Amino acid sequence: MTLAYRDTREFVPVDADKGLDRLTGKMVQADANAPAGYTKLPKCKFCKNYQEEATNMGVCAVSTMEPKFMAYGDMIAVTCEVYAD
Amino acid sequence: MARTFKQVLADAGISMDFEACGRAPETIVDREIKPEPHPRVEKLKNIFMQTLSTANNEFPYWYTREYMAHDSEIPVVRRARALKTAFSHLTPVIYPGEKLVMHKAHYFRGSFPMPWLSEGFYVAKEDELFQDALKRGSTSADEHSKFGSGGGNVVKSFNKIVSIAGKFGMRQEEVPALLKLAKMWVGKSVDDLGHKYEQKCPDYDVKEKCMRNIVCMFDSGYTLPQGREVINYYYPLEYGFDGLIKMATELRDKVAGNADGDGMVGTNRLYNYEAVILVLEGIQAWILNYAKEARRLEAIEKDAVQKKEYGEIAACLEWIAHNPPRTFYEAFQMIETIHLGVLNEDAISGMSPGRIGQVLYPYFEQDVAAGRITEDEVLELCELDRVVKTSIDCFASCGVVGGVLSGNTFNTLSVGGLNAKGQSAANRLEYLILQAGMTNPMPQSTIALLYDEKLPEDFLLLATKVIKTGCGYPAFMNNEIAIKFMCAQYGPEGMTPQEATAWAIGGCLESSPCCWLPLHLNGKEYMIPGGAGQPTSVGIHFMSLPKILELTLFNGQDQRTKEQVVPPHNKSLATYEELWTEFKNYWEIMCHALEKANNIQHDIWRKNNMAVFNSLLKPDCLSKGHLINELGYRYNATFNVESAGTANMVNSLAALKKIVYDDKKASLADIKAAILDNFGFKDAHEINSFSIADQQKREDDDRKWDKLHFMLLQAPKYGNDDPYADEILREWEEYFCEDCKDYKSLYGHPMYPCQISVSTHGAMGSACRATPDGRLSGTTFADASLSAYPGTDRNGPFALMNSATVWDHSHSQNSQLNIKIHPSAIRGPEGAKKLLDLSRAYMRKGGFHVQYNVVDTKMLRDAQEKPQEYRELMVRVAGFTQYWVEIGKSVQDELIARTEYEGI
Repeated sequence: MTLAYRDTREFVPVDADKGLDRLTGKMVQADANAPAGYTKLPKCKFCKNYQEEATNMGVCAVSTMEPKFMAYGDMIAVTCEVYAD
Repeated sequence: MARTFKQVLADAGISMDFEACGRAPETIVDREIKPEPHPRVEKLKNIFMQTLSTANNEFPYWYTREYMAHDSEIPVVRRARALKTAFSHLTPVIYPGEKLVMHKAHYFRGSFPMPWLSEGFYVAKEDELFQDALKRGSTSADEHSKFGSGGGNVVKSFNKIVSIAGKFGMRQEEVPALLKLAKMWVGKSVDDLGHKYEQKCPDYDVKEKCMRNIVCMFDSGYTLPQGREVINYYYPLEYGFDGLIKMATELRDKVAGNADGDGMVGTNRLYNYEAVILVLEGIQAWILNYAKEARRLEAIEKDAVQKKEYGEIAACLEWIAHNPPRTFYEAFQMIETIHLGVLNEDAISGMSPGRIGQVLYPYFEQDVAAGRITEDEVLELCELDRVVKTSIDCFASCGVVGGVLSGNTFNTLSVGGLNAKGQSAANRLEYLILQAGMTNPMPQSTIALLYDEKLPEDFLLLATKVIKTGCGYPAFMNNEIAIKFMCAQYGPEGMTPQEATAWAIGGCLESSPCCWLPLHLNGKEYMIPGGAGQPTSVGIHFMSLPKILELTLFNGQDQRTKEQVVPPHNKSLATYEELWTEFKNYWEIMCHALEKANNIQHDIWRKNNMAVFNSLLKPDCLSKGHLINELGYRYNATFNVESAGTANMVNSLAALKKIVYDDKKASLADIKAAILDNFGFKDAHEINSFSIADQQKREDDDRKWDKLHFMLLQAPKYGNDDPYADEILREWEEYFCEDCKDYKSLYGHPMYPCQISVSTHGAMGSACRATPDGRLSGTTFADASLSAYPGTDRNGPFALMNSATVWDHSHSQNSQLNIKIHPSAIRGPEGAKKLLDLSRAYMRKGGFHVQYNVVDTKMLRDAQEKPQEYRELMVRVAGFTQYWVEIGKSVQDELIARTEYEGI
């Protein structure tokens, strides 16, 4: 699976457009393809509990609220206790 | 090409060439001193220079998710739960080479919206939320506020980046979430609830018209409800976060169910302590998430030096998440963390670190003595701190962040002043802080030097050396004047003259009440200063004095929009006294309308959005069990009234008095007609230049106003030691300082004057027609409150200072004087001495603040044409320094036009 830099753990986000490749130290575009073997960054869109309902928008299935609370696919889930790959 | 204002004047033989005390060299002269930072700092600075301001939804997502799940909870606990959840879920990011870590959001210049404060302004323009916001007066300032198009500003959308509020870039994948989160707060935000209730005020209509016509610049309670204050780092430094949780738990258990004689809010202490515990737990989780990230990086890093540093960062964070710091490095990291934490709790500009050289001195002294750290390592940390502080963005509307703040967030630090024993407080660490301001010149922290006669001469000379780099800091602030103001304003709340000496600058130059507290380190006690007061600049925001004069001359009607802003006075204004009386009447009508509306906004804020983290840091919230909203702070009389455009108002009144009333050379009707016709010139917006010098005559102009225009321009002007104009300033100041006491904050205290312009002189000038001093329509006002209008101060800096000190500055929170000096005027050690003598002379005359732009005007013009070559050029705007390329054009033009002193 080809990942964009911004979907990898080796990407250090500088701003919305670019960041550092932690392995090479170079500034790279956030949307550029990362080299093979880079690690997938936990994000809602990679989580089993994320149910997409529209482009980039969905709900979090483990939300205890009714209706289920919103989620968006691009949110980083490194600190989320219920992230499930 | 149409003739410019400057050419028209030259044709008439009028000297207004924007240079004084000599002639500038023909070629561009750069600043004399150009030191460089440590290599590590240079690398991080290079990243900063490439960084775009970026916003995301992480914090608001988790905040909203938790908040909405607990709608039956006690408000303060509900908010604390939301804050804890948000802090606990922030994604950590550590950049290679960083030593002082943690960021507001996971970008180098990251920030995020707070829709619980205001949700309407940043949504898509076609959205109904935006349209609704547009109907309110508060969005008018956005139309007159523009960011510079360079640097980190995202003024336009590109690729997958959406520009929001004219400054922040957001990934397009996040925009639907932003809108959905925003809509959850409709009718619930401080903005919406405040708007609902402010309409109950009988004079609400006047308030809205003030905002729509930019008589007043912006609302207070939901824009930047906190800030312009000094933070207090003492309690975490003394007790550590575990110690504070233990303290709050014991106090909570002690007061639970006890009113202790306070039948109104006594029992609230239980919930307040509960909230304190929750928020502290959130802060700890945030720190520990960073520690975990540092450990992860340590495990994968191949470079041995970097690997070791990641380990040291992790160890530091793991320690300070629970305990009081033991070393200078740990203490520095802790105050950095606290600072960012407070800024994440609320939309804040001007949360000043205060006198951190004195706060951190105990650790510095003991570490240096023990050989745990060298002065060079300390200098490097001080340089790194400048990268951290300059990277702090605040997410708010374009009108607020652009029109008022010019993108700056005013994390001003103070040096000098007196210690708790009344002696000079300057210490060795403060020398290094000043040096770091020179070796790593970045806009933040802007430095305030609390000038006192007891400060060492070499300390003051070092300060002038820093100024000569052109960085726009340190500003000289008068310690004695500020202490007098502190005692007068906060004496009724118990401030003693000794406690007054702890004061520091909050925001750009808002004097803020502080206190001394005993810090213990390895058995030694140090008295350290820290903030003890509520936010300032939260009362009545930025009243445009020239616009009020326009309303007075035109019977209450705005001449740009033709809206009747205030009821007609129907006076003929036959005498100067009648004009002056009606001016004051209008001022008071509008101030009272704004006073009430802002009190309501802040009242909503304190009920639903109160500060918990900032509160627990400030004396005496922890001991009292009351947060900011229940007068837990030691000093609460902090709300003020801000003015803008003083010099143009004074000059206009002087011109009217001279030409119409005293000499009777022209009628008021003629002057009003000339104003409406802009003296035959195009409007500034038409030519997209906001400097008076560049204004152009209309092609169809028949020169019928020229004679009158020249007369008005040659009438007495403030800044020349001319009693005719200066007397008008004195009369205004004496009235203003007294009148402010008639406006009361929601906390029941009288207000006081705050006289700074920040960047409002650009946006407010943009919305103001020509004025009787000869200023043209749409052009920027004079900056600050005591700076002269460009080209009008012709008698040298000492004459300007004489004019500025005809009134007692200790009756006001501040005053502001900026002077532009050509680098060649202060060359060499002799130049530094002259600059110090000039500054000292102003302090001795009783001036409160003076600062200098040491720059060649030709360089500014060049930078406007070729911004790509001047990414690092910094200028002093008003009470702050900013990168030239990040400043809006109206203020750039005014900076170019300012009188340049070629000698002093």
